[in-house]
Amino acid sequence: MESGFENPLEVIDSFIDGERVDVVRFKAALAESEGRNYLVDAWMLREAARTDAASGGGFAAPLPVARRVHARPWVLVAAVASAIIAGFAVGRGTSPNATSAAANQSLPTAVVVATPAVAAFPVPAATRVIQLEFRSDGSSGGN
Amino acid sequence: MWSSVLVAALILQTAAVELRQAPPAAAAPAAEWLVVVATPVYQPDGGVTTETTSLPMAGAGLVHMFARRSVCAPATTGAAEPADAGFGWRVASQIISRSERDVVVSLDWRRLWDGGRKVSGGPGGTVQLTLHPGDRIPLDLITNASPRADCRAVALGLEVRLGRAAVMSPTPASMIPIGATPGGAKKLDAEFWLIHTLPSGAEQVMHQAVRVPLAGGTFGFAPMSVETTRGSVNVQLTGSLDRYRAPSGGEFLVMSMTRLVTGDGLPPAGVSSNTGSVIPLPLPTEVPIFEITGPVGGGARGGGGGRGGAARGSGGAVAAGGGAVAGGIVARAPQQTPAAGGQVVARGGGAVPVAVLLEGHQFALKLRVTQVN
Repeated sequence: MESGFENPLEVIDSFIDGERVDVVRFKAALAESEGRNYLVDAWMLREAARTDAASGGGFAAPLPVARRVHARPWVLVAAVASAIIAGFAVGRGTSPNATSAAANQSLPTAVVVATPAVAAFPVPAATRVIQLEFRSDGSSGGN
Repeated sequence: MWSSVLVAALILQTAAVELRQAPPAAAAPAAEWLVVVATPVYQPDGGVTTETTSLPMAGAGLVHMFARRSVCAPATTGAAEPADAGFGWRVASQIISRSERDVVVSLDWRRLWDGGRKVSGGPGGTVQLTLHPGDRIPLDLITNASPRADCRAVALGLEVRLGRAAVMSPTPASMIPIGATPGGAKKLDAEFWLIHTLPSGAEQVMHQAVRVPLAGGTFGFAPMSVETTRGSVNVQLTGSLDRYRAPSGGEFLVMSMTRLVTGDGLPPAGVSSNTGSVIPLPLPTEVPIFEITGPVGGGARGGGGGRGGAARGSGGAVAAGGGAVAGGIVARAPQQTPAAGGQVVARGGGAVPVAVLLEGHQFALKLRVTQVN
């Protein structure tokens, strides 16, 4: 379910996450070139994240922790897992505004980086020269 | 025991939900450091041309750093994979934590292109780095196996650096032309080239592109290392572009720059200094260069005006005292600077003017802007 978005690009995130979105807001977001670029970037980022997950890549995994072996380890594992799942379910049900939209905030978000249309190198020739001189900002005494 | 586990899980879940519900503003980073991914191209004469891009201040990011037909023209894109890359990498990042002293970042990088084509199973890795100001961490290097006349570079590198983020500070009233109203007409893409000319004549260039909203934006380069006769120092340039409209409709930019010099013989916090200028909004075909002159050696290039004097403007604009006249607006000239600037007391005991410390090293900044439709 869509909630009120402070950032107009969040509606794109929700759309990519498969949530219901306000069509008017979504169209408005895509009307801007920034929104269209964001849609592509966000989609590519999720694609890359899925690829990494499938190939076993991703971010640095935590170091393995040595565990003592018990006589019936599956009993302990099953009990702990059940308790955690039950606690998670109770907590999710009792927490205010625990919506799927809020849960999706933890997903990676693409950053919009300006991509020059013209190659940056070789460095273009200057068309105008402006000479400046630094002056001390008074906090450290240099020039 | 089981009830304890249940309660712990309940608390963890509730805390997790609260964290996710935090508004974006509350997640704003407390520190001012930027993790910068750089692709330096090493030239045989000691020159270096570097493409740079900043990773998000928090959370995850994905960038592609690449070159096309040769290693000599590095470029960058965001998450979208470039279709015409011949050399380069994909870098996924996750900011783990940040403080006033360092930034911890997890990086997953992989070489995706080499020798002019896409490769599979190229070098890569996942690293967790604790970066401190001034750090430069090399990750990979692609050697130029077939140097040509138009690209004699030795190699293309992939590095991670930590730089200071620029802070948007109020424009001094003395720099705002009379009658101007804040804000521009359309968003801009601004490109900056920071050019460091060594005493040998070799040039080290860093490039970055930033999106500039209507109100203005900031830029910031990772520190440049400068070897001087008194030791090694880092020079870092950050700045901001404030946008204004003239009553006649023209737009102009108030360019402010801060230079921070840190390193041997300087106070621990470094030596900071400022400058600025007012210019008409350049056309996409125009590339103004801001030459940062020093009291020793001058360094004027291309026949520009004298220190603090007149600069040549296009389209009839005339700059005076570092300021500019745009669309009939009278620009107040920024304050003149002292001839040699202040001195700082070196840790070794002597007083060393920063300009003298950087003697023989020239810095300049080129700017190109295009409107975003």
